[in-house]
Amino acid sequence: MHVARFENGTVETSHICQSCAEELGEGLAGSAMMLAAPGLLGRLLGDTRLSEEAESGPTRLEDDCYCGTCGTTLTDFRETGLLGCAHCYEVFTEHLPPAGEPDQSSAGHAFTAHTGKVPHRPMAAGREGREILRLRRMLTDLVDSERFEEAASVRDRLSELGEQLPRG
Amino acid sequence: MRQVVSATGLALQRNESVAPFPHVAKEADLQALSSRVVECLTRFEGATEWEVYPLDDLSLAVRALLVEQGLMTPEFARLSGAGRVLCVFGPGDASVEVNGSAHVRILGSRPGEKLPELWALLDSIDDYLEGELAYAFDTARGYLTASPAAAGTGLRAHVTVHVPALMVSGRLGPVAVGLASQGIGIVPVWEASGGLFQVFNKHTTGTNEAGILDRIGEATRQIAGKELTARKVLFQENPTRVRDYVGRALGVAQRAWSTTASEAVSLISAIRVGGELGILQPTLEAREAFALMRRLQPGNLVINEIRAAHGGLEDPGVDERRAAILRDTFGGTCAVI
Repeated sequence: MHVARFENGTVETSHICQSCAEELGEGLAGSAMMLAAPGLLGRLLGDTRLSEEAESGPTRLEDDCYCGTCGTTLTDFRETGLLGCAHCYEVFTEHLPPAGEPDQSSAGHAFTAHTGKVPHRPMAAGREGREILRLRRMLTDLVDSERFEEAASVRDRLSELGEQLPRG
Repeated sequence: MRQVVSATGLALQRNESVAPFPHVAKEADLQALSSRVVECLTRFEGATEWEVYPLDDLSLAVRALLVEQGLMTPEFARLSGAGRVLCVFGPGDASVEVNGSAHVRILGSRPGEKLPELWALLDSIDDYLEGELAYAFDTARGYLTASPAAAGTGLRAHVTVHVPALMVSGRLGPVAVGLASQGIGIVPVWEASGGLFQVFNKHTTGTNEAGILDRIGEATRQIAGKELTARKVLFQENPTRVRDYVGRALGVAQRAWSTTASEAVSLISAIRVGGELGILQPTLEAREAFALMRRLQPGNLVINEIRAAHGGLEDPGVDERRAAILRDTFGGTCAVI
């Protein structure tokens, strides 16, 4: 992660890991800091903004595409090679390799789709699946901040969507 | 093929569709998922069949033992934190890592060549877990994983082969290049001590689970055939050097008082090949040799031989115990003149 710091008219640049960057971000209330890590920037802006845009699919933030469901950015994906949730496959689809492996019989131009085992129970698809994931994240945040009344309504909404959650 | 194949293993990755993947999930999410998986598994084949270990409760020595037994991946062993759990089925028949690189990774390992049997068990555990977890799945991409390269079937199969003759003759490289073009990889086991390598599928897509198992089985047969030929050729062309190498290995195994794990694996490897070529008696089967190599790994020695759950893996006593077991095992082995 690259950090550029502007202080007293000079610019200092440094390379630090993500956890150090988060600590640095918490301790720099008055300083200007630019992080070449939109994923962290997105998280520093708070999950609320991400959640509101969860259903809108691909979103652009500081010229970086990110998943509104889990907050993973294209930069995150490029740096780690990892996606954050099932929804990321839709968000970053144009940046992913084609499904399957090159079909040897077609000189590598065609790709074979999945031909293996298939779940008996289809996954909560598209909009509904993202809604469940968004509500689960919201529920965790509300419980963490002890906003239990709002958490109860989120829990009820999850129940309506067929989610089985422990009470308490 | 049984002269070459030491063990087989499978790993199956699955994620839930409505939960962030573990590397970005909050601790509460990890704990909620692990609770559901553990509750689900304890209903599988009776409640007494599964042992559940929170990862943070496992000492380094126990983790090393589980990795040596093929019940835990080295990557999972390096993790920590609440919500990360290992569930072991029966007496080590299979295991499930919860919240490692995937929400669940089902693992199985067996001595010898047992891919179909192992797949049948992992497949049934997978079906059972699916009753609790709504798997992340796409009709084109298959089962979805944090790393797109691991999506598809989510299945990694590997066979451990004992190929010392291919290694010392320099013929393993060309074999590996040939297999790579078929989507098959070869990696050393225990730093290639004794010529042990794992043959595995590089791609989890492009074919179904049976196809992956078939490819690995076919690749293993090819390697086994080449290794057996290479052993005979080496012995025919350099009988004195081979006898000398095997004889020295037996001498060290019978006389040493301190042995590292790497050295022990090399000694067992040489003694195993010496038996097969008729240089030593009695002979040691490939599966027996691999079982002995596993027994002499640090985790097993500390936990099951020295019985020190929190003992150091690099204590001098570990090397001494290893040498004692070798002396005891090969005390009656002798050269055929």
